Amino acid sequence: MEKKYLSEMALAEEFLKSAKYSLDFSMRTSANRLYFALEKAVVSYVLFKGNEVSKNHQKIWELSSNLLGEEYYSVLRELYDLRMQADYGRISVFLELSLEVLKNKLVKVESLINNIRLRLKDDAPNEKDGKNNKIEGKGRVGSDGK
Amino acid sequence: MMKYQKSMMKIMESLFFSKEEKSIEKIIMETKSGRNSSFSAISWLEENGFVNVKKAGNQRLVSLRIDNYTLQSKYYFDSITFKALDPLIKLIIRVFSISLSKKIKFIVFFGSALKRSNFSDIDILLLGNEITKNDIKALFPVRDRVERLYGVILNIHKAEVNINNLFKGIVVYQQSYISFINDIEKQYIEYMEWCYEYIKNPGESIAFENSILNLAYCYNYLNNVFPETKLGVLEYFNKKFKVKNLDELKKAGIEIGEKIFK
Repeated sequence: MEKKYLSEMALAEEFLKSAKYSLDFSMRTSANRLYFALEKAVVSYVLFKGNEVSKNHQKIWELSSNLLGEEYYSVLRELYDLRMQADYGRISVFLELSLEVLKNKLVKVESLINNIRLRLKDDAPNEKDGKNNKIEGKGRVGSDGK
Repeated sequence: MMKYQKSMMKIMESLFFSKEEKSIEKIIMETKSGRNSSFSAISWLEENGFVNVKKAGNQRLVSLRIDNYTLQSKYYFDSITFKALDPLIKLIIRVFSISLSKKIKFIVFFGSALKRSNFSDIDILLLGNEITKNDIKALFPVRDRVERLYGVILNIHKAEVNINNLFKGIVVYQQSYISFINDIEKQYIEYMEWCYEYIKNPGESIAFENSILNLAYCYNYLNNVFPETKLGVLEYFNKKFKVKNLDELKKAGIEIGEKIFK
C-alpha cells in the first residue's frame, strides 16, 4: 500500500512537470496533464488514508471533497472541463480553455498538490502507529447529519 | 394502411436507426418481416412520401425522405427508446430538462450510456441556433446538482439545429414540450436543493433534516399516503428507509426519484 500511494504521488509530480513544460507549445497537452496531476495526487491521498479508489472520476472528486475539502472537488471539476475541451473539442464550456486560465490553474494545482504532500508527511507517523486509518475526512465535517 | 402497419413500423425503425440507404433485401433480413408485407409496406411508404426508392441494378434501395412528418416518426421511436432506458438516466435527463432556456430547442442523448448499462457519464447535445456561452454557463447549477446527487458526470455539448445533429442520438426533449410538474416533483426538486446545500455545507444539519422531510413527502405521495402531520410523513418514510448519513440520503433520493420520473 505504501509503495502504491508513493508511486501515485510520483506520477502526480511528473504530470505537473509535463503540464508546465507543455504550456508554451500545447495548451491541450497541458490541460490534460494538469487534470491528471491533481487527480493522481488525490488518489495518492485516498490510498494513504486506506480507502479504495474508484475508476469513476466523479467518485474520486467526491472522495477528495470528503478527505481534503470542497475546494479539491471544484478545482478537479474545472480541470476536467478543461481536459474535455482539450481532448474532445468544445464541450462543457463552463470554463474556457485559454493560456491565462491554464496559468492560473497551474499555480492552484501546484499549491493543492503541495498541501497533499504536507498532509502525507504530517499524517505518516499516525498511520504507522495504526491510528487515523478511518475513512473519515479531514477537510469537512462528518456527513452523518448531526 | 392498417394492414401493413407492423412491417411499416419495423422498416421505419430500421431506417431511422442507421439513417443509411438500404436494399429491400437487407431491410427484410434486419426487420424479419414477411417478404410480401415488406414490399407492400415499402410501396405504401414511398407512395405517401416517407421513403425514397431507387433502382440500382437488380436491387432497389430504400432511404428515408426527411421532412418534419417523417421526423415525427423518429421522435416516436426515440420516446420508446427513452422510456426503456436505465431509470437513473431518465431521472437525470428529466431533472436536467425542467427549466431550460427557450433557446434550447432540442436535447439529444447520445454516447456510450445509450448503449451500455454500466456508465459513469452521460453525453447530451443541446441544439439551438442562438445558444450562447452564457446560456451554457447558466446550466452550471443544475449540472452540479445532478453530478453531486447522482454521481454521474454530465458532458454537455452544443450545436445548431439540423438533421445531422438530430440523428446523433435520441431526442429526449423538445422546446415545445408541455410542463407536467406536479406536487411530488416539486417536493423532489426541493429535496435536491436541500441535499445539495448539505453536500456543500456538511455542518448544516437543518439542510439534512429538510431534505429528508421533502423526500419523505415524495415517498408518501407516491404511495397515495397523505398523513396530516410532518411526524406522520416521517414515520411512514422511516418504515422503509433508514437514512442516517449523506450516502444513505442520496441512495434513497435516487430510488424515489427513479420512481417519480420513470
